[in-house]
Amino acid sequence: MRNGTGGPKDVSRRNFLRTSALAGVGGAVAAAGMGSAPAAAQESADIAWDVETDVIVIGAGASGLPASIAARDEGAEVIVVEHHFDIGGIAIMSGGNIAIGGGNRLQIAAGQDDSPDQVFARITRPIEERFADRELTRRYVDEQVATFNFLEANGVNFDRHGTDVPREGGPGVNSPTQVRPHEWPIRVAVVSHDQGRNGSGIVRPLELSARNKGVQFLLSHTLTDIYREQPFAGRVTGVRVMEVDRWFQPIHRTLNIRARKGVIICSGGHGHNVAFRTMYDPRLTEEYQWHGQHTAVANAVPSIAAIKVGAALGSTGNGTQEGTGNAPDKGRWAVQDNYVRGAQTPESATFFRHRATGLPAAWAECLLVKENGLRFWDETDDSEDGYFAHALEPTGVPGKLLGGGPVWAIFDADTVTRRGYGTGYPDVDRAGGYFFSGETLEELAGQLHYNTYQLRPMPGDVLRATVEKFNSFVDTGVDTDFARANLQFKIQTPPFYAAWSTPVLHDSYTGLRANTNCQVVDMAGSAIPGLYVAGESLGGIKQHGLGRCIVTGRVAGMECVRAS
Amino acid sequence: MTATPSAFPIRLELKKRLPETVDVAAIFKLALVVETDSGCDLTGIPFLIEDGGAVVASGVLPTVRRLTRDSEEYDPRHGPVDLRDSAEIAILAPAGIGSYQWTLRLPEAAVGGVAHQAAALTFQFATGAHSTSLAVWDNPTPVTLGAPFSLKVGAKCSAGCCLTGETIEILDAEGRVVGAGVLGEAVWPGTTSLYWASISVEGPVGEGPCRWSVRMASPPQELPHGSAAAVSFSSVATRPAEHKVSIAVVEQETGKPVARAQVRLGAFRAVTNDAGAVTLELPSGDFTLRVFKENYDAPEQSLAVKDDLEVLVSARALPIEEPYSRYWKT
Repeated sequence: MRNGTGGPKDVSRRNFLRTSALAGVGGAVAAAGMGSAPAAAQESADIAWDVETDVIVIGAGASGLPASIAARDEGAEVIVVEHHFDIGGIAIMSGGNIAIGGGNRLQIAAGQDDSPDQVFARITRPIEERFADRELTRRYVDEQVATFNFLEANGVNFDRHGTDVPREGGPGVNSPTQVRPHEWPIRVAVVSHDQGRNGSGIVRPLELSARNKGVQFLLSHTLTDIYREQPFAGRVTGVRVMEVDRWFQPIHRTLNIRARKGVIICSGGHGHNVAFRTMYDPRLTEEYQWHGQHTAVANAVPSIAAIKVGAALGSTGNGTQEGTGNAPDKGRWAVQDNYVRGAQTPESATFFRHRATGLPAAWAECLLVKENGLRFWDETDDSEDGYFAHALEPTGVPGKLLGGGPVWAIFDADTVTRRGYGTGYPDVDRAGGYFFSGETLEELAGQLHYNTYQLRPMPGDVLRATVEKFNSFVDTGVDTDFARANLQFKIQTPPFYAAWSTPVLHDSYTGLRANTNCQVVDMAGSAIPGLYVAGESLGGIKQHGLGRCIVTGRVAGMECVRAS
Repeated sequence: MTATPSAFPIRLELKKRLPETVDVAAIFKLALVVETDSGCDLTGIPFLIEDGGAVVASGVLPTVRRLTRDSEEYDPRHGPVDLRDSAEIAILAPAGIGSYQWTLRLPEAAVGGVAHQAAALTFQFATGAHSTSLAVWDNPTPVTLGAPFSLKVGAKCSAGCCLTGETIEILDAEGRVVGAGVLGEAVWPGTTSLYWASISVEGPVGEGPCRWSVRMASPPQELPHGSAAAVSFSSVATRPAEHKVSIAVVEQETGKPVARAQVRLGAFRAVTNDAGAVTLELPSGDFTLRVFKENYDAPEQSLAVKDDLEVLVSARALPIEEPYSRYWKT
């Protein structure tokens, strides 16, 4: 019997177990209280270093790239360690909108009145950001103009394109100013083509600048351990990394890299680590995928390594991934990582991990059912809090009291014709169990358990009854169950289809605790010498997106070198 | 030092568990791990399947697949991938319902001059009746009181049996047979074995929502088939149409026609043409008019239909929703 929360089926989770990190989390925290050392922590004196440098940056995304350049600009030698075989992290798939204001050059040119004080007021609102770390947030806003200038100085070009005027939001918006560069012009260096994924226009110029300045990149390597002089005291002295294959599976070749000045964790948070994310929100069990998990793993392994040498977690209050402003995505259909704008085509270098492009959802032409074959919400409703709260409600799978299980979009041959959906390669992932078809509804339901997260068969008679009832709502125009207004199409013409439509997670927002220099602090509130954190791995700043990652990355890179 | 064996052993194992029950007289797949240390490709070596002492099937091993971490099919997303050599044998299940214990035997075999020892694998399975299921489509809604209508019914056997000639019956809420048809020879496009019939149904006698059930009159006789669950379908019965309501949908800001907007007037539904227009024929009465189109918003309105009518609907164009838009919302 598969267990809803404990099954070692998740790729990142498996890595996580292989590196003994799971045992380490509980072990390290307990040990900190009892004064004994966790098994994996080693004293630096014992380490045989394979490589030496000044600064090691873990992760080559929106935080790691600016961190590496900033450290290099301060005169340090820098090695960036990246899990994937390419740089970019999830930022390479992002829309490229950077919330970065405070009176930058483009704002001044556009006549926008802005200042750090105004940005601060907008992202520390009394209700929405009541759990924000205001000290950290203050440093963040104070560094925005300088970071904007830093981006331009390192080749990010906002000027040639129509999106160079910062967008002004209304009162109370979370991110009122954003700038966006153009998609990187070299197609082979973009992973999600022609979809406005302008993040490539940030990470590729930064990569180029970093390489030109002499930053070294160690690709296809994952961090396994952080070394500190003593288990819970002294400087952080370096890291142990392990080579991984193209699927992020360990190859077991390891290197010890000494960091004379420090280690900066820029590894993109913990969104794809079930054990870690359920510390914050226990409902986020294994069926929920993390957007971009096939490009940037976000497996929390570096954060856990930091915890093993004494790091504390920050911003746990209300720091969930689901809720106001940082909700998961309702998603695309028929592909495992179904982030709404994460579609990849076969020309993408990472398509082999995605296995399908997925289908753009048609909420008004489907039924959404949970693993039990029952509807749970108005499919066309966009008020996401209600949708996600209900999607994440358990359905009565024996022993599974957390998480709502898969959500399936059920539609018919008429939907496929109207929407022009492809029902094979490369549009949908049939072999992986994210898309099914059946000649009757019973036959369709009978296949769904081939999906890893469908823990029991969906009863065919229940699915059929759900569809028949919904079809009767189409007759009358009245949905007596969920008050859906748009009831134009019956689900009736064979073949029938079921497409994965389970909510997909987005931000972390929460992570390691740091002081205003982005230096990681321990359980006693003391800064850990030589250990820094930025971006999604850093807890405390309640703002979505690239601005937070880039600004804190630059601050961490700069401060790491200045402190030593 | 171990001596080189005179013949290499072959290890046989079930790679995937068999389903609890397989359909009688239908083909099922035996997924096997087939391994040997000889390094030989065992594709094409003969096999026998025995029930007790009796041989029930024989053949040669189909392609033995060798998956590596670099294979296209290698997919570790859901856990470790079994990289052992494997092959899949298709087996015809017996025609009787019961439990079986069969043995797969690979006799001694020489591959490219390399000898291999005999191998055997015993496996159990049970057979059961085929299940059948139904689908109903092209089900008109609304339907006119007393006027016959037609729809399509398809039937599917879990083992893909031909269901041509089987009788389908349609029953009203009182259990009266109000329509019947015989499944044709062709299968419905896009399916492998959904046999179907177009069936005419007597018009309903009462106004309002109505429901019918559909059943296969008797399951196919040649092999055991479980009886198909009766499916149901619904519609809504209305009085005959008296008036024409012409609806034009335009964009509020520009006055441009909105094509392919979904229009709903009570139980009546239609789609606007390229000129943003559509005409519905319906009886007198009070109706709610709703218009749906992605990225448009049109308010609901009440309509009292006593005569022919022309209605203009102004739909407000909504800004194209950006995926990040929620982060900018007030």
